[in-house]
Amino acid sequence: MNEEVDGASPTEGVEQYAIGISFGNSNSSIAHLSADGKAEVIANEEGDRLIPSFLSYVDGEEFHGTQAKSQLVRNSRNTIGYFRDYLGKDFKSIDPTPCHSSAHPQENASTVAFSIQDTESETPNTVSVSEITTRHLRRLKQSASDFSGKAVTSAVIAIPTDASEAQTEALANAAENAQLNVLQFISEPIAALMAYDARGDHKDKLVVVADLGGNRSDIAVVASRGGMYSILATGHDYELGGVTLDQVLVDHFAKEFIKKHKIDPRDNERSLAKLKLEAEAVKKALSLSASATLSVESLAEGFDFRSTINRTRYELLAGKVFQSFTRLIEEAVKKADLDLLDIEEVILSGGTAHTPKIAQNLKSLFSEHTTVFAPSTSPTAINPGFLAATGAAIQASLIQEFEKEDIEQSTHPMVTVTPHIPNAIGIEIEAQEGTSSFEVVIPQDSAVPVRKTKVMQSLSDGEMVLRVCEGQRKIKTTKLEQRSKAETNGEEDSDEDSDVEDEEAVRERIWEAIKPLGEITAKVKKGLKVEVTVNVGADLSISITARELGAKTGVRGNIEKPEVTENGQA
Amino acid sequence: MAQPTPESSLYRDFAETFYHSSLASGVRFVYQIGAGGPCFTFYDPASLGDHVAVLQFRADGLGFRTTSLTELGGPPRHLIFGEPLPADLAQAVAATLEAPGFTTPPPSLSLAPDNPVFIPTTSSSSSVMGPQEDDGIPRVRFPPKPEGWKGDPGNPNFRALGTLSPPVMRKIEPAGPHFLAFARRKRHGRTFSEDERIQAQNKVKKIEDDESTEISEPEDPLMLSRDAKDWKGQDHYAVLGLSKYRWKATPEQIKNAHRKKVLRHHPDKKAAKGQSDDDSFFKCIQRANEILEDPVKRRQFDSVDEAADVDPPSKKEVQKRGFYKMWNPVFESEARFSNKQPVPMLGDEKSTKEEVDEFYNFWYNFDSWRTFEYLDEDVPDDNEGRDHKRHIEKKNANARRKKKTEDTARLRQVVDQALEQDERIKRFRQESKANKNKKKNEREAAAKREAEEKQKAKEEADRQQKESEEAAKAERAESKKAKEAAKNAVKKNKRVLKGSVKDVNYFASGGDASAAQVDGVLTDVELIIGKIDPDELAALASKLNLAGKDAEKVKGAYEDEVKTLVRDGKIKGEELKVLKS
Repeated sequence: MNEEVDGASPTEGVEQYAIGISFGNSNSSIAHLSADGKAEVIANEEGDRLIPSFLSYVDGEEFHGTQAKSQLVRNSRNTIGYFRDYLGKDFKSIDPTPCHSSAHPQENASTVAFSIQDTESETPNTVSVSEITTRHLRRLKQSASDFSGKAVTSAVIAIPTDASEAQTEALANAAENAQLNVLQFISEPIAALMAYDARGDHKDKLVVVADLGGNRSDIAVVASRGGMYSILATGHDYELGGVTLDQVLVDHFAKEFIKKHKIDPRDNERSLAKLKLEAEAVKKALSLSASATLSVESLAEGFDFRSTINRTRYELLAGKVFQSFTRLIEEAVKKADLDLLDIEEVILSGGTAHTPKIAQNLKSLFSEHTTVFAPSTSPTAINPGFLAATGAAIQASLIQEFEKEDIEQSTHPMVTVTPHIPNAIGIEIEAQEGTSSFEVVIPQDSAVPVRKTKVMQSLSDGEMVLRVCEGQRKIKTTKLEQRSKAETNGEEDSDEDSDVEDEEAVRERIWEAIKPLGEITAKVKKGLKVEVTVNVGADLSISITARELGAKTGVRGNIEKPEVTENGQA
Repeated sequence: MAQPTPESSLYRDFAETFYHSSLASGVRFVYQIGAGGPCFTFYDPASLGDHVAVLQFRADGLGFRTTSLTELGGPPRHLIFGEPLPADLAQAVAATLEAPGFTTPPPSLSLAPDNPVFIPTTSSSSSVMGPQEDDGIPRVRFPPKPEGWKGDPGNPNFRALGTLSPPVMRKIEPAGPHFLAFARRKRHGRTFSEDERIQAQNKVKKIEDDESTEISEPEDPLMLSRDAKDWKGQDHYAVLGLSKYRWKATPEQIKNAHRKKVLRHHPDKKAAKGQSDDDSFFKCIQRANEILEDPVKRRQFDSVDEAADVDPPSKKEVQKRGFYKMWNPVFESEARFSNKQPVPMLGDEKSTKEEVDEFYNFWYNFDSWRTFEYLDEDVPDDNEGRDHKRHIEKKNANARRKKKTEDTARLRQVVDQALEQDERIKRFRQESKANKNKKKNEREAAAKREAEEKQKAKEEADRQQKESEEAAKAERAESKKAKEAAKNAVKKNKRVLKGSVKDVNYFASGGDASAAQVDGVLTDVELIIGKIDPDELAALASKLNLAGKDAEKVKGAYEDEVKTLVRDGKIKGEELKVLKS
């Protein structure tokens, strides 16, 4: 198999076999499309499907993934991690804090490098972050090749929404050096959304994708319209992530240890590394069970340490951190000029999304109609750690047959930057006597050209007017009490508080027709199903078709197909 | 009628899901795909699980066949539909439900696009129009048409009122299948309907291609009426419609072909069409698939697949239509038995000697996997006696061995024939012969050329020697002449000198010169002549000739000369008696 992999370069006429890669600061994963067409995350040779983005060198031997991460205790100087964000940046603009307990980044030419002993000789070599990335990707590619038995030649890599051009370019070059042809870069939130949409749900919706990683959190508010995605707003916090939660546990256990032995294990580098690794394991255990035990042999000065923590205590300790996740998401929604009620789905991605409290907080933040996709709130949720890789693999399978030029042309801003309609288009209807309501056919923020069909059943009889209008969503608050921010600070009684508030302020979404576009008259019988099709062309011309449902067969005749084109210039 | 096919996972999933949901919700009427195709199954309310009646689609699309519907003891309470049924199918359902056996006429069937709908069949049709939105279709009240409403000119039922608000420019994320469609439309400037049409065309074309490459072969009616018991005699490839591929058919092709044949010839389908339930050809299909999908059995069949054999051509055919054209197919078909792949092929008249040699070497040492188990006589069951069984087995083994030997001999013969007729072999032989002769000739020619060259060189040397000798001779003669001429000149000059003094009467003034005077002058002249070199002598002689008989001038000339000679130290002044300077 090795021969097969080594001997195959992308230029040879080998079959293109593309995988999806999610390359994170803390963890990476690889996915491919299995024979039955389902995206599947691949386990590496150690059996890990979530592969820590770590490389470690012992006497010239390279360790990768879990094995490398465990070297943080003994061999921290020659262990590299958290390097993704350094790629394509200069030394001055990076934040070296995450690498505190592993190999330290250094300035080298215009990029960042690490000084490590990666050969058998004693003298350390300076290895650039690009080279490290190449080695990391090569290992990932090798794992995928070994798993599938086919030579992997190309990949789609998921990147954060705020990745600069220099970063993507650096990543593409690093991949090129690993003999991996990057077909396309895909935004992580979009990949996560695709992983869920691959289950067959393509209805129009507004989604918040929260990628809660190890070192950073990225939020994206996405409009999914007819299976196409437009990002409305993003939010980032580069200091909030799983590590922040680990730190809470580290501090907690350190205090326990001090109580017993009057020694602070955080003062010793090695003790701290041990404690960090174990705290992370405890955090993961607490996501699944109600209590977890930390047990470290010889934590500091030969003292063993063993302590148990339950989930309630953990949630109390980390309450502030949980709150900042919620706040970050709330801010992103606000930035997109939306109300929390507008959001139909919340997708939690990234390892930290396993934490039950974060998902619960979000569930109480959003309306009850909002689905929060996280392991603890939705039984059908996909493992949040695998979302990005899965989506990337789906995209890879879609485009692997295409020519490179084709992909470049299609992803060019000429194609991707499109006019979106600012307001929804729909039919004005009578709600109650005298008042009017609005039935959405095409939701706002849909990219043109767009065509949508809506079926409505008439409750009235006679000559009717179908008035096609632009409509706007309004938030109607029935009680004038201002709805405070969801208080989800993890206090035991906070849940009750927020429940009470929700009851006090009843807010709902209503639609209002704001601008008529055209009218159709038709004789409508009671109970008749009317199918209205609105087609907005690329030049913003609209054509409207209304007919009886299933009239194609001509069962009841009278097909009316009024059609008009209007030119609305931008 | 567009009948849903059993492969459609859509329908299968639906059936599976709603079988279970029916148990839970007490619904007793499920649309599902049974072995015989799509059907409705009715469940006994008392013992949920066992169906009591089945309503099956008639394959001709005209209605349903029912089995023991009366046992149900009343109309079904609920209908479930998941995916919308095709409109004409829905009508057929409605028509059937109005048939005897149902006391209550069903409502017009409502089909939901998303969620399954539960429609109580006992309720009146008006309740369906209620404000519930279970099927996802909103119930709405449109405003009535006001008095004096007027449409646009040319379109009485429509009027435009305004234009769309200015758009916002946003970036669409380039990902997902729908974006692909979007990018395709945008890049080619197509509208929705254009793009749909083009895509549909492509799809149809693709399907047509697929169909035409798979089983488009007409089915021989003789084959269709085959008896499945005689499976050894049947052409399995023809049964699956792969007779133009035969041993070249890929496992994928066989699988597809089998699936398609089964779809066409399944006994249930035949039964549904009202034909007799003769499933013999279906058995033939199953048998063919059983043999062709197993690599070992397939090889055994391929070994004796005479339809794939190509007989070696006769000499006449070869002469008429060409060696390569006739023999290539033979070797191509034989090559399928080779254990070693790829097999070197016959090539053409341009093949090199090495290629041809390799070809014949390969074929004379052919390593064949051909086996003859397929032709074995059936081994009887144990109950016919062990001895008999062993006898048959032994006979089979012998027969196989014999056939294998025969086959090896046959192949050898075939290769022999080919070799015999192969023009290239003859050509190579001639060429090698010509090659040998050519070498010999070359050697001889070289020797001859060498001899000639030697001869030439010798002649040349001789000639050069002769020439040089002649030149030397001529030179010698020339120099002799010159010397003589010089001598003569000196002699003449000497005579001039001697004559000159005589002409001036030996410088005697008046009368005859005394003997002593003459003698003195002559001695001096002799001395001068002796000392002077020939050039000066010539110069002196010419001076003396000019002086003629003028004694003074002659004397002056002599005196000048003597001066020169004395200066050069050739003569000492005292030696001269008269001609002193």
